[in-house]
Amino acid sequence: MSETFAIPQIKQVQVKQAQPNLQFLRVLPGILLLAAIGYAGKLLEQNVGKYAKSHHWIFPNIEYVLWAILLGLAISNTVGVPAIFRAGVATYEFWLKVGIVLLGARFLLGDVLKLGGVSLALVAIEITGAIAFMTLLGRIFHLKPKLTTLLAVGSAVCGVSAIIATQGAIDADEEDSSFAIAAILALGALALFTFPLIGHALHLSDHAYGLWAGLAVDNTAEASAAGALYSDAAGKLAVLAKTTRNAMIGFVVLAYAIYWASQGQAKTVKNKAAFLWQKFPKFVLGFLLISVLATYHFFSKDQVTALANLSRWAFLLTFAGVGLRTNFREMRKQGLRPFAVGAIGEVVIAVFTLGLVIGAQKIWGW
Amino acid sequence: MTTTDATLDKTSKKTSPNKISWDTWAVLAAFVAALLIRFGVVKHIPW
Repeated sequence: MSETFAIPQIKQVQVKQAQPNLQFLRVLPGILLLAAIGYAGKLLEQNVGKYAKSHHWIFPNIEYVLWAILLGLAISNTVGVPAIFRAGVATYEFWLKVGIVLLGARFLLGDVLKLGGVSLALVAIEITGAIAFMTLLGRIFHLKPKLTTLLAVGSAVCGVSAIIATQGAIDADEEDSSFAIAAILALGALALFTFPLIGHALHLSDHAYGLWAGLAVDNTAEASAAGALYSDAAGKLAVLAKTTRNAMIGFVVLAYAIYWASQGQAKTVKNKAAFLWQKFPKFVLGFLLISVLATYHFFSKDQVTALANLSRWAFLLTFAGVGLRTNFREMRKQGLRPFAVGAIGEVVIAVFTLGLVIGAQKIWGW
Repeated sequence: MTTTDATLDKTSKKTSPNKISWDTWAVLAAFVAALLIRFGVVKHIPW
């Protein structure tokens, strides 16, 4: 295993070290690194623009989100992430979930139901289309059927989480899941830079762009970052659409588990309700509960502002983690075919979901 | 379900089936923070 921070290493770090209790000291250095990089991104956002303006330079306004990702990428792809920080850096998804739950305070329940309803309809179409297309692509490229399943679930639902959940449910090889994860993460990293450019080129509204990012970008961290790179409002919508997609994970994984069990290649699911609950992302419930509390004025206006700011701090750590765990050298080692299938699939899904969102925009007039 | 949860879930089957997932810890942490703000223990979070 190389000294740099790589995808397979993340999995190992999480398996061996990510115990919530009594591991605080092991994760502390990495959490401090996330905070330092995130805060540096925030300082750069505030000061680079001012400095450029005072020297009459033309310099684009770069948000803290992009600075944090770029700083993380620079470290990960040059000196690498030293071992002492890895366990803490792997907590970036924890901060993502904390941020999403707290973000619920900025959504009134009516908005969640209205936007969530639209998202749900679009998500259902996206999941069906993406699974069908990725399965077809896997056959055309002669990928192993279980690798195709992992790529299909990763592109259709929820990125890395869905791949790992499915791997366990269908008894797929570790190697297949590493391929699929590498493809999804590499494409997520590309989406961070291409989606905002496309959104601006097409003059998409915050609402339409946020929904598109939430529907088309696979990993929750990258979807949130891609949304936030466009605007704060787009970031909110991207999180909502992605959260709706995440809520579907249990159903899709269950369907695949039943299919592979019927082929005699996976264990039979005995208790379907327990399976669904086990796979269901609990932060979705937390997000909804905070939203209900905000709707019934459990929090004052100032308190909602404080919760929203706390959510931003949590996302700050997440975005630093997105950069730190992305290592292009390691991704290249994973092979070309799964990446090619993932890339073709992602481009088609991105175009397909863009069409869906533009169609919905015309219907609802966002 | 997150990467962390999924990997933890897999290992937890071998160790302790009742271990709380990272996902649940994240929800608990967010609610503790929300309650601290709600009841005035933390009055202001700057950005």
